Amino acid sequence: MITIKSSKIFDGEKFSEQTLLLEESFLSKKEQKVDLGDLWVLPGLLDTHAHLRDPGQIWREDIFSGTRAAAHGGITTVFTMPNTTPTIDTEQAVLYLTERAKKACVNVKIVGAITKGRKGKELAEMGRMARAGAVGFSDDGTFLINSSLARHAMEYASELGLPIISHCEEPYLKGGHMREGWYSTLYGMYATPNAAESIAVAREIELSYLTGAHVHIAHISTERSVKLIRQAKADGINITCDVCVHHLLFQDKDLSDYDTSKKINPPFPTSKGQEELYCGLEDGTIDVIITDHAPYAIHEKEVEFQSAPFGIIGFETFLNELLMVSKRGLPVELLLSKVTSAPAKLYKVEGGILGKHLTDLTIFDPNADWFVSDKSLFSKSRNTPFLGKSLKGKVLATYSNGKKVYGDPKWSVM
Amino acid sequence: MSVVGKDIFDVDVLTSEEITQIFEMAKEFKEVLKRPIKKVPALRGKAVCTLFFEPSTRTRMSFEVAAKRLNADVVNFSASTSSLKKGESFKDTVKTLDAMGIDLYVIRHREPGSPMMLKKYTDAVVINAGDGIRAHPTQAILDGYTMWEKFGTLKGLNVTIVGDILHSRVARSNAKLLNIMGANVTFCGPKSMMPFGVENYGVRVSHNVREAVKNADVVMGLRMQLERQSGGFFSSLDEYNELYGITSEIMKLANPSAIFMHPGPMNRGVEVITRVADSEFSMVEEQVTNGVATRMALLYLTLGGDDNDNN
Repeated sequence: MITIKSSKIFDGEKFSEQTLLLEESFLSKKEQKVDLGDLWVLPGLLDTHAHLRDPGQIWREDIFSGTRAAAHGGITTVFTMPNTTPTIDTEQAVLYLTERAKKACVNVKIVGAITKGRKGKELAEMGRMARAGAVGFSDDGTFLINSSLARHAMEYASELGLPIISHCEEPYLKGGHMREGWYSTLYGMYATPNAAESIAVAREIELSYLTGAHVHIAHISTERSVKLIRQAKADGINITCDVCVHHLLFQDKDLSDYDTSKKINPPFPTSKGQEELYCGLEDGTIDVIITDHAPYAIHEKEVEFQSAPFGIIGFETFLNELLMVSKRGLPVELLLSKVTSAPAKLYKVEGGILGKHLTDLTIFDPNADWFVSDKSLFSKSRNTPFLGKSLKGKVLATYSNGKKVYGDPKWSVM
Repeated sequence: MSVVGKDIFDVDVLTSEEITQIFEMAKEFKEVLKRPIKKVPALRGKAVCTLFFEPSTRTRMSFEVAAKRLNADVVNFSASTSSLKKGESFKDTVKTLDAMGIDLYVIRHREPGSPMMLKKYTDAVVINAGDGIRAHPTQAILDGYTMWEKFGTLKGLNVTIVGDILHSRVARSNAKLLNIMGANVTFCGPKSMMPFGVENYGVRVSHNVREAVKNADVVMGLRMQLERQSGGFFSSLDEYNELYGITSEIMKLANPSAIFMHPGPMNRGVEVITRVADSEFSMVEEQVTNGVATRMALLYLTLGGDDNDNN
């Protein structure tokens, strides 16, 4: 047996002083006591929206590099999105990834596509993918514009007890490279208006009301999206949503340097939109925080801004960013619950709480620093605005399924 | 106050004093252009590269003439004849050119921010000759110079810019420069072609051209492009001309001494009628001449022409 003592043990809801008893099989063979002082002990984080680029885009990331990066960020469960090559839209594809994931260093959950090839024409075999273990369905990266098809997808998903994870973006209004507003005017950038998202959110709310299906809106980024979802929840509609952590820290105005590592879709919000995102987190409208980890190779991002692909990596800076968000006024326990207990409950997956079976946990020093650099990142890609910056807070060790998957050698005693 | 070594990403890198300095220098160079031998050796031994990733005749030629009048060596790079077609990246193109020893780049690119990106790969001076819909500082400088020459000052001048503001880098840079110099700017055009939050430029916004040109000293037309029709920005060129076209009647509503300006190329019968374009108060050709003079001034000053004289 091993005991861990800390004054900052987070159970998924709040911090308290505790002594955890860990089974011998986990962490160490020797019997010992470890006093961690006020280091944080967290349930392993869940990131329920990420792109591991596996199969088919492994110059950006693969399931192994991606999960090593996740472990480096204190994340022990990753949801991988199906916009790979080929698309994850069949039972075989889900089984293939599941098999590969067995050798990955953290838990990987698979989100299947809603339509074949994410093309929006025919439904993918959702029942079979569910049988193979898919945790939800998404055409992430594109909005399923055909409302009839979307309705039927929701009907199937609700039969299967799984959510539709919806990427909300009206295709005729999109096409910009940043958020439409004064700053897009000033920076001379073709821009996408807020309504491109909220129009699609409104459609999903109405279809969820029609079908009773659980629709989870991914990475909301506008004031109106928050308000529509808040109202839908008040009306008892089966809607949940998440926000990408980067959208809580960056705004449209931050693109003055045309840095392509800050190009993301949905684009950074306006200051007004961001304010509402904070309100939405505080009042429970927004259920979960994600990274939307989206790796791209250096040569893909080292181009003109409007020619660059959308996406930012996020695993390894997740906790650092959450700390920054808490400094802007949200309680850190609330934020941590939205990356642990809340996503676990929402998707009905294991983890996110420190309960009896302690297999996934993260030890974090909120006062230490780490330097984000080409050398220190575990991801294959480097597309983060934090590259070359020193960040407050450092993951000291991550344990997944009872094994240390990241950590300084000095933590090997555990 | 010095323009030496300054990268001209947009007009707001310049102070009103520096802009005035450019105007005064341009006036001297304009005299040179009237001489039988239109050349001064001010930039002998300097290499200027025009780097055009987007088709342009006027601006590129204007820069080329300006640089040659100053005796600089000029090399022209245009995307259509380059290895860009073979898939060479912007970065590699610039690094290749830079290895050849260029002192100043003039860049035109459809991407906003591309001049700043260019600067990442070179120590040479960078002059923006139009980056997407963001900025066109040398057009604004030549426009400002044209007004300055005509009216003696820009302070208090009423300038009305009519047309597709949304897609116009000329309107954006003009608004900034005219603001710096203390002029009053009105943007006029349909709502569909007015960029978000445009009032923040410190301009007045109008959707009625008759109202917008009242008390104007300068009426500037912008090119309306037919391809905007398919995007729903306007219904037909005919209707656009009726609602926003600059006619003699519209010019009569402006101040008696008002001038007409246009960055070119003009669509006669769309944003302006021929009677206005060819009138005695039209400055369109004067703008072209001033383009060469102001670009000479800018090349001379940024490449440290003054310093050379002292050596």
